[in-house]
Amino acid sequence: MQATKDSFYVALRTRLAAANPQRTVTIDGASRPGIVVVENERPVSGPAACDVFYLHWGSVKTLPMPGSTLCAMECTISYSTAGTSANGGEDRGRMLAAMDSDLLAIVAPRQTAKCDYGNGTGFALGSTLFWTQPVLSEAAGESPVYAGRKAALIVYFYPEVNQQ
Amino acid sequence: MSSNPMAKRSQMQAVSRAVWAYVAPVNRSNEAITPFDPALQGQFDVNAPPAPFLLLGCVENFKRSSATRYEPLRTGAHGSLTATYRTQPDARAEFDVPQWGKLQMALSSGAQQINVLETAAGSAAQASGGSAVPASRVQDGSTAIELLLMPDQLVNFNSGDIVAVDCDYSGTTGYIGCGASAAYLSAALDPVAHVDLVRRVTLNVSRVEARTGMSLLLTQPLPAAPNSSMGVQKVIAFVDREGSSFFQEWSVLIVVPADSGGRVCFYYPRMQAAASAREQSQEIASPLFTPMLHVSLQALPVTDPNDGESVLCYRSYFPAASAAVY
Repeated sequence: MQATKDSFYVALRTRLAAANPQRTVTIDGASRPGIVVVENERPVSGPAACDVFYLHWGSVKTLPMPGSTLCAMECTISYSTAGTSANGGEDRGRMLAAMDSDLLAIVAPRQTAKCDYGNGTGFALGSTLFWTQPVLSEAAGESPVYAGRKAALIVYFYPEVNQQ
Repeated sequence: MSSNPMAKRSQMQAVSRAVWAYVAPVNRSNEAITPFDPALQGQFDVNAPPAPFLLLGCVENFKRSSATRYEPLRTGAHGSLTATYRTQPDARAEFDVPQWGKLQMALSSGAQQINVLETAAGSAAQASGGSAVPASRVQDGSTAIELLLMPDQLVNFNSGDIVAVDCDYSGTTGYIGCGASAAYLSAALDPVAHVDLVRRVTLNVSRVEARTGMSLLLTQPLPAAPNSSMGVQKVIAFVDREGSSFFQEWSVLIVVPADSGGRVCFYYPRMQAAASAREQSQEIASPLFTPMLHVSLQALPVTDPNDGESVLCYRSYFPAASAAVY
């Protein structure tokens, strides 16, 4: 399960760094590609940062296929923007569209190898995880200052095959 | 190792979301096919098939069927079943192609596929294209993605134009069209009146991406390399005709890449059209719909050089990396 979460995140993070190197986030003084897994970060009570993708994991179920261990895990990617201060936030719609484009770029192709990043090496587990095309919610923000949305998708995976 | 004994077996199940189709020319003069070797070519990038296979696109409703007859052999007073045997080997495949294009229409119509060439001023209207603007000659040094033309000819073309590149018709009979046979002539035509005939049917087409001071750069490589015996003409549309006598024949490769890992391939060395052109409508979101090109093909036999067996179709399977083998 954890390998699936990690592999999905690493795939999207790597793709984001290639597709839009300018989209970064600085956390604890370190700059990295602008996508984070909420459950992997220090709990914070304030609003989410703008122009960053936040990845949330949801429910998991096994699929009712005889002889198969295929599982499905819900994933939501939320993001928002306030636009740019240079434009007084009037470009938040355009900035949101740019984030939509980045998101659609990094979820393709909709598969990646599953690896165990538990020891930091990315040991291949011998299977592939794959996911659906994201469904994007209507654009809305926590306040009129923001424009944002949630993208929902389902990640399919097999329980670890070669994991020791 | 795995904590779940079913993990490896469950990966024997191919989970896929798309079926990809590819075609390659068959040399109609000697019926030489384009081979597909699973060991050498099987794991190709679905967007970049091994040459000379050309991507037809992702297809819908792929269905293959066999009408090969299985007959009982009965012997004795009671007519007991002794054995069974196969007779009249027959295999077909059909699918719908959402993407329209030259190749796609050729496969769907099953007949001669016509490039409607840009017509010359004053040409009388004709359903498959009237008198065409004369061809521009291809110059030495041209490649599949760059056509060198004389400067006074370059001005006839612009970025975005579709072009047909092939030889002048010289009064021959038999199959015509470079790269892939595009039509068959049983009787010779007047080579002067029909000088553009080969370019009217050729599958050697592409689109101009840009015009330089000496050449046309193409968006897609021409299926067959150009040479200085060829001419270039602008194509306005593609037309096929119900009632045409020509039969398309191609080597066809169908690939089902599994998202779960692994791949299934269906390779038909020789396939000919099995039905005339028709379309299948698919609703996207009412009132939007997409007309898909329906393709119906009949397999022809080839001889497998490994054992001399007569074969219509090869099905190959590439197991996922960690799947159980049996």
